[in-house]
Parts: sequence; structure tokens; C-alpha cells
Amino acid sequence: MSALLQIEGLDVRLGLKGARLLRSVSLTVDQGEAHGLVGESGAGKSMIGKAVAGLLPRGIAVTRGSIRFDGQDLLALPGRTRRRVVGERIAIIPQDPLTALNPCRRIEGQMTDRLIHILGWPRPKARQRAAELLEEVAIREPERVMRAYPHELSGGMRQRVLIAAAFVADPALIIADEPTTALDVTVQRQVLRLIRDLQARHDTALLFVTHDMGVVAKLCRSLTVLYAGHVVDQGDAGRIFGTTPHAYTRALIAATPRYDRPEESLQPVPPQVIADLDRDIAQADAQRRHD
Amino acid sequence: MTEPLMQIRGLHLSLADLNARPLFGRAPQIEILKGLDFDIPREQVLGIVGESGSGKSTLGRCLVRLLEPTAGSIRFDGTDITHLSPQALSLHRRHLQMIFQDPMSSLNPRHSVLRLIAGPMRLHGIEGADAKAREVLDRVHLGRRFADRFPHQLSGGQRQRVGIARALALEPSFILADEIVSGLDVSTQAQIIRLLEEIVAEMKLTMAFISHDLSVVRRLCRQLIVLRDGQIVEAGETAQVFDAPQHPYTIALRAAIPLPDVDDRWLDES
Amino acid sequence: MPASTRVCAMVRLWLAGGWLLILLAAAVLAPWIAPRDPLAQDLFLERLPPFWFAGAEPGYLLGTDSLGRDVLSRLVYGTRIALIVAFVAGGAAALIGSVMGLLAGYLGGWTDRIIGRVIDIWMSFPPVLFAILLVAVLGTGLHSVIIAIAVIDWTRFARVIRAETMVQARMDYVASAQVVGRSRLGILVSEVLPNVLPTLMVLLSLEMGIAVIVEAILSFVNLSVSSDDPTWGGMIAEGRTQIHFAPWILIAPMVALFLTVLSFGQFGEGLKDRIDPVLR
Repeated sequence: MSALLQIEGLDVRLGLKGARLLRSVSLTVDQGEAHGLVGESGAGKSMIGKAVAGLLPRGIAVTRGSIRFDGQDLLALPGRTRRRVVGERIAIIPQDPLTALNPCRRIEGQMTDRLIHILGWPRPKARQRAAELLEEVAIREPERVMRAYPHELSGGMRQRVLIAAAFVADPALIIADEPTTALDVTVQRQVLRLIRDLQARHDTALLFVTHDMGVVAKLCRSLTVLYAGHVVDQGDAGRIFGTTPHAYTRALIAATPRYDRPEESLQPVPPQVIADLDRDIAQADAQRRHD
Repeated sequence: MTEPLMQIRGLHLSLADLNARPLFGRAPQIEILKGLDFDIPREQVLGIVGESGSGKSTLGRCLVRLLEPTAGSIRFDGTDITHLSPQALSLHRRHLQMIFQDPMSSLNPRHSVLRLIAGPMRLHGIEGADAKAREVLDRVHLGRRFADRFPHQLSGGQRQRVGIARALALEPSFILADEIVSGLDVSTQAQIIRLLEEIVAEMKLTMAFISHDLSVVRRLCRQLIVLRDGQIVEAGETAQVFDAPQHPYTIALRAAIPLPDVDDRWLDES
Repeated sequence: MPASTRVCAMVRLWLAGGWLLILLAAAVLAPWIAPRDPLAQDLFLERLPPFWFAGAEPGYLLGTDSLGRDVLSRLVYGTRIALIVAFVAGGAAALIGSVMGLLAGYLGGWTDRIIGRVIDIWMSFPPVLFAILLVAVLGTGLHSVIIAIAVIDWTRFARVIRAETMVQARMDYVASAQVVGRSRLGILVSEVLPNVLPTLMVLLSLEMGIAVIVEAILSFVNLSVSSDDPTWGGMIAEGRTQIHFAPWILIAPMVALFLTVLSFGQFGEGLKDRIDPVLR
């Protein structure tokens, strides 16, 4: 198996001298692998996906490090080339199915945009492909759904359309940013299953951003645990949920509610763990200022 | 066994369908709560569980009478409060408190923390409101130095503590907590749940805890009701419902919770 | 908020506020500042150009009009009427409009339906025509102009404040105030009103600018104060007839009008950013 996405020493800051949002983040995602990015709010987990896709908000910039995608350093590419590489091979599943679809356009146009405008497919072929993908996400009448406007579909349907749209151009990597956070648990499970099935069938790599330790345990083979933009823990999911030596990871797992062992769950993260982390990060920051 | 603090019988609620507003005449009514019967025992936390659209938040708003039920009755501490007018209700207001899901929108952004907590106390003629408000801030482990801050200067967990303090300040006999931990990070969520456990035990509070998250309810509530489409599908002791759920919906709901254990087959189970 | 944006906002607030302050000073101190009597005619000195043109007469900085009256002095005295109209008419329209808007938005039901219909009907009249009609009925004069503006423009406030109130009324903190036992009026005053205040400020400042324009329009068609009294609109109307011989008569009041309307709007926006604790 070969590394599809290789991030090394990535620093992201608010302005050139501003707050550090990512601190020397390194991670590798192999082809066809599902990698989880977990952490609490402010941990910078979404920032990684945005940096890869070139969607960092105004004023936030990569100040150091490299993002190698399929052998090329995305950060070294000129803007146009980079946008083309990203457009052709990386797709995104957004968090909010309500705002991710343009209410004024039919589903068909929104699904085939990328095929027609970036990959230059003829319209009938693109239509056909979109219909196939809609069938893959268990939408029974793809033709009818393609003619529909977003408001004519239920929330669950819209989320499935977004998943189908992400896979439509057969990307090598999909970045999913909390795609199930707004959903009910029963719907969440269906959506996760869809993502997993499509990902396995198309051998797509997945970068899955979530705050939910339960979701990541079920979906991802490997993961990165972040705190304040700093990689706390990284590696195989089995190891992290089993025997990780990192106190913060263990604390996050212990804070997650679980109905089967209520007394052991929902443990607040010990302040000492946070204090130790903050101290380590401050030291690392000082160290890097000297370099 | 003493009488339950709240007794809900045959509770119905219909609201006008705002999407289908005709040009003339009345808007069609949508039935949201379809006849609910349950009790809220004293000095306990009752869990109200359901997914979106189950009517759980609407039910909550009926319990604290922000909404007036269409039919049925709510007895609160021996009084029928189902159809009380705002004036008659004001006598009971102090004892029917609520903590909101989103503290950012439930705390007026223009008021300081102290004013947010002491204001309601003054309204109900409680003396020494400011001093008591500061005590309550200690009680929710926020500390008095937060008194002069504004909601937007606080973190999510701190804001939710203010929300709790505000409800506690009036020393109510009943508190409704509507999805109060769902927007929080796991570590903050754990702290807030701990705080609630502590307060309920110390102050002998009666609480209804609305949540979509069965795992949280399992920890906090001794009894629960499971709501679906405005009806109760299952009710009972929490431990019992979890160990041996009877209704297929409860079973599906429990099965859909992803526990933080690696399990490749979980997604394939039906 | 990034520092550069904040500096920009400050500069905007100060520039706009500065101009309004100058106007205020001009209005209050007109008799002392104005170099001449704004009504004094001197037919020997008609249509003098402003100081930067050849042939300008010292002492007539902005030149004179077709009757030989000093343009600068008329401009200075004109601020009085402009500002009175802005504050009184704007304030009255804001008061009527926001009370109506708050009641409609908060009480809903029949109150809302009635007020809503009235607003719809009101807004379907063409405003300038409506104003001319009103002034024609009430008789010309400053008080008629003020009444006309308030009676016509309250709907601008009512509509926006009603919508804003409806949004605020659905917020959880209104429910929260209800739970702690506040009365309906109490909630309206202490929870809803402060939150619609920033919007009201912006609207009011825009309305003040509009009021100045409407007064100018009414002066232009000779329906405001008597045509001898110096008003900006009257000066523009008068300057129009002389545009080929003496464009400065027209340009000076137009520039003043433009700057004033712009400043009112910008000042309101800037002030809103300052008083809103959420943005601060």
C-alpha cells in the first residue's frame, strides 16, 4: 500500500505571526484507508482538511510544512494547477446538508458540475454517472431526484445526495467534516454505513473529521488525536482504543458517555492532563521560536 | 410513596402548520403530542428521550407552560396548571424553571452574568439578590469573578453553567433541562453532567432531562420515557429499559449508538 | 475584528460625526458665523463666482445668487431647517414606527394583521406625491413638512422593526424571561427592545438623511417654508434656473446635501458597531 496523502510538519497560523492553529502536524493516509481526525472544538481538526483542500479562510495560512498528495507537494504547485488537482481528485462531504446544496438549482446540475466542468465529460455521460451514484446510496428513483430542487428532498435524502456527489468523480481522497453531527443516531448509522461501503467499493481514502470517539472507532482504521493544533496521539485505531499510553486520549475516551458502563463513562478530563499538555505545547512553541 | 410532583394525563398539543398557511381561514393544525400519560416523581431526574421530530422539546415547553396544551392535563404539585392564565401562572413561575439547549441564545447578550442571575430573583422579590447570585455562581463552580462578564465572553461550558445558575437561583421545585449538553465537547459535557448529579442530590431537585443521547440519560436518570412521533413507546426504570428494551424502536435506538470500541462489524449489523 | 477594520470603522465614525458636528455648530451659531444677512439682496453683486474663480469679490466666499444674496450665508442658515427636519421628523417617524413594529411583531395575531395591512396600504402610495398632497392639505410651513415626513415614513421603521422583533421574540432568551416570570410588557422593554435598538439606530440615521432630502424636494417644488427663507432645497431650485450662468449656486447646496445624507448613514452604522456588545 502506498501513501496517498502525506502531511509533514504542517504549521497553520492566523496571519503570519498570529495564533498557531496547527502545530507541526504530520500524518499519512494510504490509498483506500479511512483516517479519523478527532479532538474537541478548537483542536484544529477541521483546519487540516481545509488546508489539504485549499479552503483555508482568508487570513489563515500555512506557514511551514508540506502536503504531498500522490507524490506532488500541493503547497508548491501554482494556484491553478493545485485547484485542478484538488478538483479532479479530492472531494468533500460537508457537515450541513441544508446549506451545502444551492436551493435554486436542481440536484442534477449540482452533481454533474465537477464531471462536466473539471473533467470535461459530455453531459449524457455525466448524467448517467450521477444516476448510478444515486442508486449506490440507495435512492430509489434517481431520475426523479435529479430533477428535484433541494427543498423537495428530506434531510436524510439530501445528506445521501451529498455523499453521492462526493463520490461521483471517483476521487482518490474524500474529506468529510463532521458529516453526521447534525443527524439522529439512527440516521447517522445509515450515513456512516453508506460512506464506508462506497469508500471500500471505490478504494477511496477518507479523512474523517469528528468530535465523536464512538463514530471514529466504528469507521476508521487509523486516527490522529489533536489538542490545540498539536498531534497528541496517532496510529492504529485498535491500539488507540485499546492500550494507548497517552493520558489525553484515554481521558477523551473516558469522557464519552456509554450506556453499557454508565459509572465508568462521562469522566471529566483531569485538569492535570490538560495542564501537562499545555506545558508541553508551550515548550515546543518556545523551542521552535529558537530554531 | 409520596405523590409525584407532576402528573401528565392524556396530553395533546396541536400547532398551526405555518408552511401551509391558506389565504383565508385557519391554518391546518399539526398534532405534535398525541396523548401522553406519565408522572415525574419527586427528587429524581426523569429522562425524556427521542429523535428529532419526536415532540420532546414541545413536551418540555408544555411542562413549564411556555405552550398551552390543546387537551389533557398537567398537575403540578397538586394544582392543575394546564390552562392557567399568565397572571395565575406567575404564582407558579418561580417553581417551574428551565435550562435551555443553546445558552448563547437563551442568555440575553446585553446583560451581565450577575444581572442574568439576580434579575429573576429581584422580580420574585427575593432579598439580597446580588449576594445570593454570587453564591449560586459558586455552587455551579463558576466562581464570583464571572459576575461582571457578558455571555459572549464565556466558553460554551461556562455559559451553560450560567444557564443552570439562573434556573437554580429561584430555588424552584422543578427544572426542565432541554438538550443542555448536546452542543458541548465531551469533556465539558462530562463536567456539566457531574454538576447536575451533584446539584440534584444536594438540593433534592426534581428534573426532567430531555436528550437525544441515550448514553447520557443512562447515567443521569433513574427513570425514562422514550418518545416517538408524539407518543410514548416505552417507559420505566432506566436500567431496566436499557438491559431489556421491549419496543423495537428502543432496541434500534440503543443499537445505533456508537460505543467507543473498535468493532468492524458494527456498521453491518441491522 | 481585525485591527485594520476597526481603524477604518473609527475613521468612518469620526469623519461622519465631524461633518455632523460642523453642521450642528453652523445651525446654532448661524447669526455669528454667517458673513452676511442671508436675505440681503444686492442686485449690483448678482451671480458673483466663488473665490477660486476670476472675478470673485472678497467677502463672498461661495459667490452670490441671481438676487445677489451670499451663497455661503444662505447655506449656513439652511442647515437650521435641514437639521430641525432631520431630528424632529426623523425622530417622530422612528417613534411611531417602532412602537407599531414592536407591537405587531411581539403580540402577533390580530394586532399584527391590522398593523401589517395598514403598512402595506401606506407603502403603496408614492411617497413624494403623498408628501406633496399632505403639505397641500396642511398648508405650507415647517410644521407641515415635519408632519408629512413622520406620517409617511413611519412605515419604514414599522416594517423592519416588526420583522426584527419577530426574530427576537422567537429567541430562547425571550422564553427564558417568560420562564422566570417576566410580564409581557417587561419582556418587550427589557429583552426585545435592547436587541432591536442597533437596527433602530441605523434606520433612524438613514431616515434623518432621507428627511433632509424630502425637505429639499418639498422646497424645490416650493411647498416647504416660505421661499425667501434659506433652505438647501430652495437654493437648488433657485440655482437650477441659473445653471448655465452660475453653476455654483446649485453645486454648493447639493454638495452639502450629499455630505449630510452620507454622514447620517455612516454615523449610524458606526454607532451601531460601537454600542453592540456582541460585536464589540
